[in-house]
Amino acid sequence: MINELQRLLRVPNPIISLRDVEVDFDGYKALNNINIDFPFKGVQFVIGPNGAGKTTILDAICGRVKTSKGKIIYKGASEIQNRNPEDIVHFGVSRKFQNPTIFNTQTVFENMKLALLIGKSNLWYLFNSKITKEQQDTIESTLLKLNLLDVKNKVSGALSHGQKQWLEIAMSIINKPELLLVDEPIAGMSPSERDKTGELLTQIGADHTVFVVEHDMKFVSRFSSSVVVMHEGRIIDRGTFDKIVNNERVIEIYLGRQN
Amino acid sequence: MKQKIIYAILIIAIILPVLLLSDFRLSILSKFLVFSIVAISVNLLWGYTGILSLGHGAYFALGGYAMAMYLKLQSQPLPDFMEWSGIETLPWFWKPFQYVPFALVMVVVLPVALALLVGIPLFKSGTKGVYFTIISQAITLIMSILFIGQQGFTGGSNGITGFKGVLGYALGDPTLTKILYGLVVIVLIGIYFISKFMLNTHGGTIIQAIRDRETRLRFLGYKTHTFKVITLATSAAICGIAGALFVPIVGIISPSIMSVLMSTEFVIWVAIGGRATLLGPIVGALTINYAKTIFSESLPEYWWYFYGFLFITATLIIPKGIVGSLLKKKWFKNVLLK
Ligand SMILES: Nc1ncnc2c1ncn2[C@@H]1O[C@H](COP(=O)(O)OP(=O)(O)OP(=O)(O)O)[C@@H](O)[C@H]1O
Ligand SMILES: [Mg+2]
Repeated sequence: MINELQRLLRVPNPIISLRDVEVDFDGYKALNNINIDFPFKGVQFVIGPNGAGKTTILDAICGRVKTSKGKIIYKGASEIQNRNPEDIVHFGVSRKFQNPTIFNTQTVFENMKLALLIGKSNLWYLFNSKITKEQQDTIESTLLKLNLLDVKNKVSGALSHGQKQWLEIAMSIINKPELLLVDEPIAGMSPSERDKTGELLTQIGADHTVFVVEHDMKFVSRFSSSVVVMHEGRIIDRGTFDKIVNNERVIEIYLGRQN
Repeated sequence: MKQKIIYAILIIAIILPVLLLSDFRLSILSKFLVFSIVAISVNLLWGYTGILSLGHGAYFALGGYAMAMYLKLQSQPLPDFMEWSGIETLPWFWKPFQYVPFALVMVVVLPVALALLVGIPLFKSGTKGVYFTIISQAITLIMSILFIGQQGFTGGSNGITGFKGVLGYALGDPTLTKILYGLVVIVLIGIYFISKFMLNTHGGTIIQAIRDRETRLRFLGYKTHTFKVITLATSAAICGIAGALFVPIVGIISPSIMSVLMSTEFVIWVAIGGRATLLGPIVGALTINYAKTIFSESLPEYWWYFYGFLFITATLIIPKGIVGSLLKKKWFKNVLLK
């Protein structure tokens, strides 16, 4: 059983591998010996009860929390554990936070501009106030993908909750990251916004690796191809939704909580 | 058309004081315009980047001392206060200050060096908010203690004064007063337009984004601490230039400028004038300092009560400051922004 799980957690040529990763919050191990690989491309869902360590695993990858043990290896070559978030981004890792984290006083377009400009290697842009036609097109095509083109001149603080979430996703993908980390994207969304988000993530997963933490089982069952289950800082299963809902441990964890 | 009218009014507003004010009053106006430059530098950091410094007196003083050292050496080969402290030869670090170009370069280099010394370790280690503010306060305090203690090199608590003249004119010469007024106006306008331009660039957008949500910017990949260090250094440079202009106008620089109270006043000018507005710091510095002059000429003992009252009511009634509140009015916007 254990060996079977170990086999499931490995993939050939992973984009990112976690090896014996541990995150310690003053003695409490929010992540305990995590070992997992992610393939290039595709959407990987993560589920688990409250406090399982789902957000922490994203935080460890993108540099928001320090790991106390283990390695995070990017494309089999670079160790990225415990680097600064701003450096990890430049490897191609992008993070979408649980609550909309955007520049509320700026317009949608300005938000996108801020996200896009960091991709430039030449620092002269800092003294410039214009963007090129090409950059304008990149922003507009990304906004179109996320249904935000109509509101591009709106102050982003005035958007609906769902639109704010999409804007942050748009900002996260504009520089074409290879790995996108998304934490509970559909919390607080209407059913139609949920559908749209699910389709979007699937679409993004065609070109990028997307790692989505989600609570909503209906959503996971509809849009997942592969699901990882976490509990108390450990990974306990990986597989299709149908497979993991028939795992007794998983049933026990979820039912146990409801009793 | 409207632009032209605004510029015409501006030019008249600049020339009128020269014709109408006594030399004494004109000199006071110049001093307040220097304070406007200080307020612009504080606003750049606090208003636009969200970093509150209560230690800008230190940068002002460094610019001021660099200028004062030059002016002093023009007056005496060996400053009088050195003789009083038993120093008989000019210390090595004083010597190059007899040359104008060196002194002028130091007006900017010294404050920028201090800003880098403070900014790099603090911002790199992620020091934020009130912690940075308290440390900035401590630094100006340490600087003032250092300057008071090193009497032989700095003139101690009396500071550096007793300049013979500037540009060949005696201090207080009416022509010099007018020249200095003109110089301050030119520098103020220059700094105003440079900061206006800079704030409109992508770099300007980025520093304002630091103020609004630094985390997002870091997770987009920006090294935000570098931007903060650069902004602090720019702000320090502007403040140092103001300090250098202050010295020939007032005729003295002393460690009292490095008091925490003085640095706090800089911030109050910005708060009352309008944080994160271009004109706010100028309006704030002029309004408060004129109010202070009027008060201290008639009711000096009540000024500080009035000041406290003004600050509290102003922050309650017009939290966005004078200019910030006016910008919400349509007519004001129409007048100013076409
Ligand atoms: N900064 C922190 N300091 C101390 N403990 C923390 C910190 N962040 C998270 N934890 C703890 O670590 C554990 C895992 O937290 P995490 O946020 O990863 O859970 P989660 O799986 O995302 O849960 P949820 O479904 O509620 O979002 C929890 O017990 C939490 O209380
Ligand atoms: Mg979470």
